[in-house]
Amino acid sequence: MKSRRIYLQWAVYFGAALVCQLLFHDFPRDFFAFPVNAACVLLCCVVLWIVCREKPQSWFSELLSAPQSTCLVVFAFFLSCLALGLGFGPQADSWWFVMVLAALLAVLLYTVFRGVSRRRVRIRFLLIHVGLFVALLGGFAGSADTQQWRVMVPRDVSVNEAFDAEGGKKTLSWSFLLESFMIEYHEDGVPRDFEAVLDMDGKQVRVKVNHPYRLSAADELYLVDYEHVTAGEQAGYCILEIVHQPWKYLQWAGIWMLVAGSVLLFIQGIPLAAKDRKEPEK
Amino acid sequence: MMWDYFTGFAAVAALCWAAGAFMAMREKRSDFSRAAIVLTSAGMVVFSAFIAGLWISLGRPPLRTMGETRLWYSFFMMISGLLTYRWWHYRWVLLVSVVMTMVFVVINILKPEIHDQTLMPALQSFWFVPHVTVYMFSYAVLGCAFLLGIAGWIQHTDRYSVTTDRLVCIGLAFLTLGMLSGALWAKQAWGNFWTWDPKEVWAAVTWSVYVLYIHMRLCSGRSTTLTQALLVLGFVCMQMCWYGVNYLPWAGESMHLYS
Repeated sequence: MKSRRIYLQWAVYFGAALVCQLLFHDFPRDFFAFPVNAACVLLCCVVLWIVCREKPQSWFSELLSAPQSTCLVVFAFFLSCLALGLGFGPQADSWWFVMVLAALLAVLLYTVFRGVSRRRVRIRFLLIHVGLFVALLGGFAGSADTQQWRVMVPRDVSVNEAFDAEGGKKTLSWSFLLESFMIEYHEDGVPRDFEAVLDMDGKQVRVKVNHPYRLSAADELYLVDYEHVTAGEQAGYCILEIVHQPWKYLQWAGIWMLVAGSVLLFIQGIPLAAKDRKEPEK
Repeated sequence: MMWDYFTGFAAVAALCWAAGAFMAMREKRSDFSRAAIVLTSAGMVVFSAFIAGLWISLGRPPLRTMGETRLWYSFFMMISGLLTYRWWHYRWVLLVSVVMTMVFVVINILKPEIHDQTLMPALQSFWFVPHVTVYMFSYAVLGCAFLLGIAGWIQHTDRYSVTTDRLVCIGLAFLTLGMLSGALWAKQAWGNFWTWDPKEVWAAVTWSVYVLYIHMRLCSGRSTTLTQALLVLGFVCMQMCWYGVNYLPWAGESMHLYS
């Protein structure tokens, strides 16, 4: 009976996600830029913590803590990714996908709250679940604040205007001039390595693939392309990308927690069979 | 070129592996056959000598082309098969691992692909070797879990479930490490940890299947046809993630095209 109610409640939730998808298509990502995203995250955390501590018998608590909910939400995530992978599903910024991810985050956070409420907290459990939550949250809530601009930097004139993917123009806080561009080739003519030496507001800066330059706490500079010339010639320009990602530290922290959790998962394993388990982990 | 010697090295390794599998099948008295372990290890020494030689001759890690990743998969498949045999003593697991390994070895002989020295700048990163080898190891371990899942399904038994669970935990741990090292590398190379690139989407599909397997096993506590089917589904998704994604019409949009 309880299982049926839980499945029904999730059916209503995913039905609502489907209706939103059919009516509105893309999720209004820009509306959730800072501080709206931070406020929403804080509110959800507080509400779930209160429900976990004060109303553990409520229907909402039962819904989020039921093992069936975890399986159902992971299955919904699997289906959404599968549809995306096969090319006929809603995109990652669609209402459907956002609501599936929101459900996954809610179940994950509630699992963490229940985990820390236990007398004996398992370090592996915490690292995996908190790490996954923090990494996903950083990408999910931080996507509204992530911005990317490209700038074409020539040799003869200093530039400070960049463009986003939609063609929107932005005046940057920095100006760039290409001082030199070095390319090394393999014997068959394929580039082995390339590096741009830039003049950034009078300061010499070097950028190459896999070696971005840190402009500020939230901004990094990447070398994405250059004028393709034959061996011996000098490239006349290079294309840089500025990535503004203030939530990256959260993702970074979550990823390293998950790395530590995965190492412990490898070392310790999880007793999944009923006879090997003293108490259910989740 | 070192690649020209592959058939010879592979033939010697295959003979050792086949002899090891035969000894394992023949052993009835003890838990495991020492001769099987020695012969299989000898085959792996031969195979790893070829990989080391190829690495030196190319002057770069042999991890770039699909053929090179198949080489690592064959190597790790035998390691996981050997460890599964040593720890859990399934007599048949070495034989099945050899057959599966030989499929990829034969593909490499028939379709060696390009093995030149070029390594594009994007691949010249600290993350290149750990990212690919960790993935290949997880694929091999999950391949072993798939074989046990199939065996349980055919025999209508859950006697392999404890071993399968252990293999899935190890495989999922390495799969997650592969994804995370990829995310850290992607941030360094492209500016974003995750971009829903076709390869990344299929990695998420594969990962979610094994997460679902673990949670379903935690829920029910016993192996069912459904959890065994998840092992098969996970293996299929893994093949899609590894090379199947290259055959999709939008594969050209992927940033993971290096071969």
